[in-house]
Formats: sequence, structure tokens, C-alpha cells
Amino acid sequence: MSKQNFYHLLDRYRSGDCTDKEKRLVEQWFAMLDEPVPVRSEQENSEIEERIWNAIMQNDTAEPVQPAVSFPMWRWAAAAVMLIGIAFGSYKAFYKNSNSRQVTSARQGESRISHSNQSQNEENITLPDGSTLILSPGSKISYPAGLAGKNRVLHLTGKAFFRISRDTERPFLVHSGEVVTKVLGTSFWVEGRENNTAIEVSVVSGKVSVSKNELTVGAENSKIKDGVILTANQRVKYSVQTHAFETGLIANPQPVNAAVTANVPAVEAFIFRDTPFTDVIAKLEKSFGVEIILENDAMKSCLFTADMTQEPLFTKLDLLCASVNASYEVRGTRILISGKGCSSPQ
Amino acid sequence: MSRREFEIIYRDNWRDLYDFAISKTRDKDVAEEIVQALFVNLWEKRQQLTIANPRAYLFTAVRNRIIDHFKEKVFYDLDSACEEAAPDFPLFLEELEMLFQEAMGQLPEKTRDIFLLNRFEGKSAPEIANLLKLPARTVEYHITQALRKLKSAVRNTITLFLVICNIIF
Repeated sequence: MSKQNFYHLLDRYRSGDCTDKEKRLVEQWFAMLDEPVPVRSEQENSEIEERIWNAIMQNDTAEPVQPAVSFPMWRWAAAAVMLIGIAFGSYKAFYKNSNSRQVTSARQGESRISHSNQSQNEENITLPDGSTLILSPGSKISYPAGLAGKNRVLHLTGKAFFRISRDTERPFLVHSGEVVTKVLGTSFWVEGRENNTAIEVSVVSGKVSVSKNELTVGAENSKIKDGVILTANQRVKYSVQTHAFETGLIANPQPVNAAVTANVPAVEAFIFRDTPFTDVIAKLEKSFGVEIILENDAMKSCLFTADMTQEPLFTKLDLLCASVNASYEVRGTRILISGKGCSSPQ
Repeated sequence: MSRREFEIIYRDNWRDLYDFAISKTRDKDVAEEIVQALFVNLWEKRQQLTIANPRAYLFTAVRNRIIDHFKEKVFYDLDSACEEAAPDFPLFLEELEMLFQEAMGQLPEKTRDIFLLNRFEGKSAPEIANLLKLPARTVEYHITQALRKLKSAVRNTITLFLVICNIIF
């Protein structure tokens, strides 16, 4: 993955432990970063000059052991914390933008927290139950203070990626427009446009149920019905016009185990040498958690040879189909492979 | 280094360092933090340090801090906490090299020569002007053009490394 490699390259460069070639590449990259500097007035200049000077001198009188500036420290902390999936670092990001965070009183007198991301970047937010979410720019969430209540209920307008901490006693419900997504412990996307013409839920890991919000009934009593259950790599689109759910696969399905363990994306080998077609299909099904149907039984006698460890699922299927003169299509959450098949091996 | 000497170094240099940091990071808050941290560090180490050329020292230091800033930014953005190189690291280096070479190859010959002298042999515009018997203004024009073209040629790939990842899958 290029970001990891790029990090490694910069790390080697800064530690001084790098080859001449690596050094040159970093320097070439750095040379290309130049952007024109916006013009400042003399007054702005002297303000900045004094501000930095005061900060430097103030620091001198402070505790000598304290780090000079705090920003690199907490960014690192936030990074590490986010990556191991415990929520603390992103808490700061939450409070950093507290100008857009409001505590309001709902009808029942319980206080609600609402938060909108008015920045240009995605924002990491940690909820009181330890669940985290990445809120896209222009999106909003609101929830009762402390996420208290029988269920964990959150309202979303816009788009967010959720990582829900498991609590089987208190299901997590995301309300977006007319749709409720119910989860136990999992990670998934919910996208509801501002005008709520369509709401899309994509599941990265775990299992969620998506259903219509029974608006006529109180939220407390809302029943889950007329919905779908999604597992990893599946998505559903709800159309407000037709009130219908349409299920499908996400654009680039990921190996299911890698998504669940999350920390290090495990690279699973997909190397086949004269492997029966049925075994290849079984392996793809197991690893991506998708169902693959062979239209023609004669395909089971085909043999397949390839190393396709790196390719995304749909490229794997392209290669597989090309080798036996077949074709595939995604039908809902399943994949149908059609072709004439092969004659039995001697 | 006395406080007076330190202050002179700060007043003389802060602005160029700050502009340099902005031009690389495009973020004035980050630039301010970097310059501040740099001088705090210098102030704390003033007893141990004897610096012959403070300006050169400061520019090397600010450059390192800028690279560290990007390093943190990329790290923050990683999907995994793995600090080891991926198995395709050598391939990645090749790709990066090819990317730079291709971008360079698209430059007109004279622009490329001037750019290489400026960026990789560290020659200033007046030095190059002298060497190639060209007006300094022409040399500056070629350098600006080269940067502009290179940037658009590699923008997509380079920004991939820098921009916060918007797409999870």
C-alpha cells in the first residue's frame, strides 16, 4: 500500500538510514511541494512575529521538561489510538471543533448532543460508549447525552463510517431519514443525502439490519420490519420515492477476515495450480463472504491456474471467467457465473 | 548564545522560515507551530550549540520538521499500525522514480536543465544565469514553469500520499 510505503520512505530518510536513491526521491518529492505563499500585510507580519516570540519566551519559564509544543504529541497519540481501535485520541478532535457542537434540550427535557462537521475534512468522533465514527464534511449527528437509554440511538444526516463497540444488551440504531440501521458490533457506512432521496448503507464487517423507520410509532416502540439483513461487503440502497430496498455488493469487496481483524490487512494468497473450479469458487466465497452461483454444472470440471493474490475481487472474477470463456454478473448480493464449462479431464 | 543574540537570530529569520513552511505545508497554523517549536528547541539548546551559520542551520532544521510533519500526517492516515515496509516497498520506489522521470521527460529540454541545476545541484538562479549566459529573469521563469508542470504531472499520485484518505473502500 503506497501510504505505508511512503511513510516508511520518510521514516528511513529522517533516521538517516537510507540509500542514495531513497534520499534523492524524498528530495525530489520535497522540491515539488512549493506553493505560492499568500501575501500578508506588514501588520499581520508583526502580529505573527510577536505571537511566535511570546510563545517561545513563555515556554522558557514553563516546566522545562514539558514538550515544546503539544501538537505533534497528540496527533501521534490520536493516530496510534485510532489504529488500535480504542477511543481516546479522537476525543480531542471532537472537542477541538466544539464550536459546532451544541447541547440542546429535547422535548422530553433530556439533553441532546448534536455535532456537525463544518470543516473540509473528515472528522473522527468518539461516542460515549466507545464506538467511533468518521463524519464526512457537511454531515451531522445528534444523540442523547451519554448515549443513554435502552438502545443506543443516533440520528445522522449526511454520510458517516461507523465502528460500533459491541454491547449485545443495547443495540446501536442509526436513524437516517426513513431508514433505521440496527447493529450489534460492526463497522459500516451510512449515507443519507441532505434531501434524503436515497439512503445507502454499506457493511465492512459484521452484520446489520436495515429497515424502515415506523414514523407513526414512537421511536421507543418502533418495530423492525420490511427490511434487509446485510453482512460484510454488502450494501443496500433505500429509495424514498419507491420505499424499496435494493441490495447489492460494495464496489470493492474486501476479504472478510481482514476487515474483521482490521489492524493489519492480512494478504491471503490466491494461488491456484490446476485447481478444480469448485475449489476456486469455494475459496472466493469463504474469503469474501459472498455467494457465487455457477449457472452450468459443466463448469465444475474446469481447472484453473493463476496467482491472483493482489487483485481486487472483481478482477479475480474477470481473470477466472476469461480463463474458461465465461462471464459473471452481480445479481443483488450474489454473483452469477455463466459459461459453457469444460469437458471432463481425461 | 545570549538572549540578545538569540532574539536577533529570531527577528532576522522567522519570516523566511515561516514562508518556507507555508509554501511546503500550505497550512499557516502548522507553519507557525513548526517555527515556534524550532526556536524553542534552539533556545533550550543554546548552551550546547555553537552554530557557525545560523541561517543554514535553521533551514535544515525547518526542513526536517516539515518532513516530520508529513510523516505524521501520513502515519495518522494509515490503515494499520504496521511500521514495517510493505513487501512491495522496492516496487514502490521504482514507481516513484518512474513517476518523477516521466514528469521530467515532459519538460522542454532547457527548462529541465535549468530545473535540475537549481533543485538537485543547489545552484541559485543568478548562478545558473551566469553559467548559461541567460538573463536571471529567464532562468526564474524556467524554474517556475518546471515546478508548475511537474506538479500537475505528478499531482494525482503525490496528493494520494498527502490527502487524508476519503475512501475507506
